[in-house]
Amino acid sequence: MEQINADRACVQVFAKISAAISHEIKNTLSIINENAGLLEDFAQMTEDAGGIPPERVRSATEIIVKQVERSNIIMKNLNRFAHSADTYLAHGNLEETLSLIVSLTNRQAAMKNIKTNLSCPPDITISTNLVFLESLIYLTLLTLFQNSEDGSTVLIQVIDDAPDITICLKLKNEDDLSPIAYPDDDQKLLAEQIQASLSQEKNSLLLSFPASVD
Amino acid sequence: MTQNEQSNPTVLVADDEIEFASTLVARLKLRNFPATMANSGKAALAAIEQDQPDVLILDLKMPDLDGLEVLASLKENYPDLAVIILTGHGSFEAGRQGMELGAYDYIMKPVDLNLLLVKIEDAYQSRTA
Repeated sequence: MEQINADRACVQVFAKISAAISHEIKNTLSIINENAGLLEDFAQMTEDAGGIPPERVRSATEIIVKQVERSNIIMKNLNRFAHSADTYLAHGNLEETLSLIVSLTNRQAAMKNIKTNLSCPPDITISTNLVFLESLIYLTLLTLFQNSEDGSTVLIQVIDDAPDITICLKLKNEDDLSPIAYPDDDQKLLAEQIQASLSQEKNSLLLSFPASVD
Repeated sequence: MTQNEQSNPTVLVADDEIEFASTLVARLKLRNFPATMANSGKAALAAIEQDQPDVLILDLKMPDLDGLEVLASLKENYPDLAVIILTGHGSFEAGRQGMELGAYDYIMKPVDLNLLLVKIEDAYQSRTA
């Protein structure tokens, strides 16, 4: 039963991520659409003998290329997250995992002008259920965003205390975090699946789990 | 303002995606619409207070104030301002909510400019009729 509920929590995380990504992709497509339309306008101007302003054409094409790259990165991140569910247990690099989740929360952070700063040693390998871990980190980050002031800075720090790892998500300004209910039911379910413990200290949310559950 | 621009409604585009808003403004100007942009909810409210446009193109999701909050504020203070909501949500619910709050119409992103021009004209006419 717990497994089913944890799976349901993961599905909800997928849903949240999909909604945010679809919104971002819509935005990049809108920008591409407008700039393609602008180029069409310029083509019309040459027909009307007005001439094409080359700098503006260059600017429009640069914007289109930039948005295509932006969309590509967004979809690459979604693809990586989706593949986290390929196997029940998987090896992964912790820094890459955290970078992925931070990227997946970019939109929510941007909506509150929150900056995130990740500090993680590059050589920590984990062996766990990656989708449960990533979903838990994702939900914990969202909890922190929702309970911090606009314009805050969130620091993500890793303490390698073998055999456990602690991820500390904290607000740079100690006064910023309002009292919150952490963890919620979904976070508890996910934590149980990867033997993680969750806690709050002052301006930090802490997530400790075994580096390997093999 | 040129002679051609004087016959068209003034338009403010409020969207936090700068490259979208600036390009849309450029395209509106090419069609002789006096257009400007604001890149946040607060900037939009300040721009309206300084120089009220005839038509506001308003993105629903912006970092500081979302579009529905801006709309609620505008309905009270600027009843003559015609608002067209921009939504990328893929859901009609957001547009419906906006219209309940006083928006004239809504349009989905990516924007069909010809359709938007019709909506701008209709929105302006509805306020001046």
